[in-house]
Amino acid sequence: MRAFRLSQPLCEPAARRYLSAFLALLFAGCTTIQRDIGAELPENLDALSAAQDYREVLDILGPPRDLAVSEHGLTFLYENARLVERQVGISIEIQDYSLLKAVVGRGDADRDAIIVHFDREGRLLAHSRKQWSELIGRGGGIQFILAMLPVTDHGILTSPETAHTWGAQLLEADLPIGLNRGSSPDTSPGVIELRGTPWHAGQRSLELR
Amino acid sequence: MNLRSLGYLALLMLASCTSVHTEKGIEPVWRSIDSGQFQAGVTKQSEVLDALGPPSQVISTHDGIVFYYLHESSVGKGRIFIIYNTAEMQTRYDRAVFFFDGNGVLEDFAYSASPPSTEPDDS
Repeated sequence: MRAFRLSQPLCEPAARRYLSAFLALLFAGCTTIQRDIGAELPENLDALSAAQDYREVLDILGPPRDLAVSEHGLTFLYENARLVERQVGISIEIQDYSLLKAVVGRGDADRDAIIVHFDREGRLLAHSRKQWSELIGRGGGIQFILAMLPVTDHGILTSPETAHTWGAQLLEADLPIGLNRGSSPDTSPGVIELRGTPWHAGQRSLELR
Repeated sequence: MNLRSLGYLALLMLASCTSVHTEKGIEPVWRSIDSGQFQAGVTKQSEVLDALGPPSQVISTHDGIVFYYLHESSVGKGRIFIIYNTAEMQTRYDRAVFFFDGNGVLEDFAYSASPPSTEPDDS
């Protein structure tokens, strides 16, 4: 078999530049990063509409992601999120080598949340569901060509469940965070919070985060 | 083969797969014990604590208390081909909640629907 050789015209400076540009784009390192948080919630909530009290809701939906107790009753929150970040990268050539890439990316999330409210005796008062898609953010950066790092800030959606750190947070000594523990969504039994709620406003504003 | 070609070849040889698996929270021992061991109106807080250990969270209700157990499992896979890379991470939660009345007697309890699968969907 005869080896393929580039024809002379293609080896001309202009053609070589196009070829180099093409190769640079080829080795760009486009990336998709997916994060799937929590199992899917049931699509059909007819059974929930027929439920009488929190025991039946537990049978239908299982334990909630979070629950809150107020003087008026009890609230269950069920929630999940699917995050996708898509990146486009262009390699950066330094001294004939492309070890870095310039990356721009966009993050999107599909969200699903169910909130169920009960009175003090545990009787079902109301429930509501919301399913929505949202833009998490856009970002860019320069990365090592083998890296797969997100360029959008999705920490507010992927932060660990508060139950993991509940005990330690009750012993929080740093002020003013410690002073806010009584009304913080992380530690107070009377507060419930959707993932993605801004930390700089509302119930956490006393924490000055 | 010139030096540049060798460089690209070396990078291609570095193309690889990555994998990560993390576990957090309480060991889900409620999956390995008979749920018939817990009975509403009969079982006491101390029996649940003996069987499952300290909960992740204790929540006071109007006239009782809730023990909330949480286990988190995350499995991630990454494929690095330099030209195109992909990473997937799936986090699943296994929960158990126990509601007690003011006398510390079990009112009701529930587990997550099924032991969570943390295999990333390849489809």
